[in-house]
Amino acid sequence: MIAVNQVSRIYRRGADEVHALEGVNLQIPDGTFAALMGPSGSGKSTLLNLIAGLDQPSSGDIAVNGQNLRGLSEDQLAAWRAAHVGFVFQFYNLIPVLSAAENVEIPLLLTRLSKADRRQHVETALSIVGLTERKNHRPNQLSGGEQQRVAIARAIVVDPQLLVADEPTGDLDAKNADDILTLLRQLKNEFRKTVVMVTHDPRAERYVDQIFHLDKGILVNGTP
Amino acid sequence: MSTWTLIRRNLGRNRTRTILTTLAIAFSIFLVCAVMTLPSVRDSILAHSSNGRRLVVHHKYGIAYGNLPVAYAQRVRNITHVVGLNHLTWFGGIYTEAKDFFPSYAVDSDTVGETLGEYQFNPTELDLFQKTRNGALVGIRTMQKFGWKIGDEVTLRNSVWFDISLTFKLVGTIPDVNPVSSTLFLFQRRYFEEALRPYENLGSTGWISQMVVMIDAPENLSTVSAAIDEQFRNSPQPTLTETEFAFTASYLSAFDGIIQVIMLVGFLVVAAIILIAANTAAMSVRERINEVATLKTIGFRRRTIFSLLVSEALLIASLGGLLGAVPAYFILNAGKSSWSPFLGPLSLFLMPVSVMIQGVFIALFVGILAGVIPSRNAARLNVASALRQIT
Repeated sequence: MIAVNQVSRIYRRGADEVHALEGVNLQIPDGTFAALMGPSGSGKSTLLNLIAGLDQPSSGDIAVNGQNLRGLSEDQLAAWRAAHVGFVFQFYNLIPVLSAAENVEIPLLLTRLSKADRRQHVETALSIVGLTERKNHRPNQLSGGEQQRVAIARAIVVDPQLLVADEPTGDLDAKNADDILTLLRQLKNEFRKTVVMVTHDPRAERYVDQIFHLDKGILVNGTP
Repeated sequence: MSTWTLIRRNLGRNRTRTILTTLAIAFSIFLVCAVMTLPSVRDSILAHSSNGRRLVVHHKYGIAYGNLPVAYAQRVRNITHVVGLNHLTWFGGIYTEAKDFFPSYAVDSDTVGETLGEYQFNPTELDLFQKTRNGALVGIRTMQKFGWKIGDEVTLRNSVWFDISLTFKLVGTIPDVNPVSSTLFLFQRRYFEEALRPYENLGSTGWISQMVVMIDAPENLSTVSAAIDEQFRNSPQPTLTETEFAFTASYLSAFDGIIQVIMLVGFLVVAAIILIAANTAAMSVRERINEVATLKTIGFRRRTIFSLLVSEALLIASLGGLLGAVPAYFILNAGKSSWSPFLGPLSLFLMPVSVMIQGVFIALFVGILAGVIPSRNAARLNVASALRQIT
C-alpha cells in the first residue's frame, strides 16, 4: 500500500517559492495500476518522484508498504529504491554502450548475486517482456518499443514490489504505446506489481485501476 | 557484466577523444621524465665524485679564468700526505661538429692509473697507452656515439689551442663506471706539448688546467688543501684546492639556473595537461548526465558513481603514464647521449627507474586531479532536478 498523507513539496528559486504540491492525500493499494494525470506543471512528476523515493516532501508523510520515506538519508533512499522500486522513463534511458542484456543487468550489480544468478534473472526479465532473441543488441539496434521493453525488463529484474513509470508511452507510436500499457497491465495482473504511472495518454484510462488528477499541485480528484 | 565492463565501454564511447587524451598525457609524461632526469644525472655525477682521498687543484679564480704552470705538480707532490698526482689539460677537441661535444684532456699517462683507479682501466690497455705517443683512452659512450673501435685513428681539431689538430690512435676504452668517465677522451701530455712547440714563444707550453691529488687518508684533506694553497698564495697563478665533490658541485652549479627553467617548463606542461584532461573528463561526464541520473535512480550511491567516473579518468591517465614513462626510460637510456655545450654533463640522459616510476605516479595524479571535480559534481547530482531536465 502506498499512503500519501498531507504531502507538500516546496522548491525555492532564489527568493521565490514554488509550491509544486499542496496537502496531497491519496492511497494506492497493493497490486493496483494507478495513473497520475493532469496538465503540465500540475505536480504529477513531483508526486511520482516522492513516491519513488527520489525526493523528500517538505511536509507530510509518504509510506510505501509500511516504510516511511520521510527523513531517510540519501544513501538509505538509494538502498530502498534498489530493492523495492523499478523505474521506467519516457526516453528509456538505456546506456548506449551496453547490450540489452547488460542494460537489464545493471540493477543486479547492486545485489550480491553471483554472475550465474544474475544471468538467470536477466533471461527471465527479458523473456517476460518478449525480447530474449534481442538480448545482445545495443539500444541503437532496437526500435523505440523494444527499447522501452528493455527498460521495463531492467525495472523488474530485481523483482520490486513497486514500478513507477514517467510517461512510458510518451515517445512511442500508438501500436507500441498499447503494447507497453498492455505489458504494464500484465505485470500488475500476473506478478502482483503495484504500478504508478504519470501520463498524458488518454488511452491509459482503459488499462489502469485508479486515476488521480492533479492541477497546480492539488489533488483534484481520484477514481478508485 | 561488471562495473569494469561499464568503465571500459564508456572509454570506448568516443574513441578519438580517449586516444587523443591518452596520447597527450603520454607525451607530457615523456617530457616530464626527461626533465626530471636532469637533477638525477646531477646527483649521480656528484655521487660518483665523492672520492674521500682526492683533491682538485685549479686556478683560484676558476678554471675558465686561467691555467697553472706544470711546474706546480712537482711541488705539490712533495707536500706531506700526498701519495699521487695527475695533471689534466683541457683540449676541447671536436671530432665532427661542436655540438657533438665530449671532454678531452691531455694527462700524465704515468700516473693516471693510480689517481683515477675507480675508472677501472684495463691494465694491458693502460700499459699500451703509456707506450703509445699518440695513444688515447676513450670512454665507452663516446666510442659508441661515433662508432669507433680500438685500433682506429681519429683526428680532433680544437679552437682553444691555436686551432691545432691532433691524430690519435685508440688503444683502450674507459668502462661505463660513472656518467663522466664513460665520455672522456684522454691522451698523452707529451704528444700535446710537441704539437704546441711551434707556439712556444707565445707561452703556449708548460700549462695545465688542473691537478688531481691523491692523499693518504681522508682526515688529511683539509691539511693538504691548506698547504697547497698556502704554497702558491702569492704567486701570479694562485690556486684553489677543493675536494672533488666541492669542485664538481661548483661546476654543476653553473647549470642550476637552466635546470630550474627546464623543470619549470616541465611542470607547466603537467599543469596544462591537467587542464586538458579535466576538460575532457568534464565533457565526458556532461554528455552522460542522463545516464548518471538513471544510475542514481536505480539505486547507485554517490560514492559508487564517483568511483566509476574517477576510475575512467585514472585508467586513461595510467595508460598515458605508462605509454610515456616506459618508452622514455628505454629511449633516453639508449646510450648514445653525451655532453652538450648547453647542458654539459647533464645531457648524459641516464634516466633511473625511479624517474620512470615517478612519471607514472605523476600521470595518476593528473588523472585524479582531472577526474575528481567532474566526478564529484556528477555524484552529487540531485536526481529529481536532473530527471526534470532530461524528460
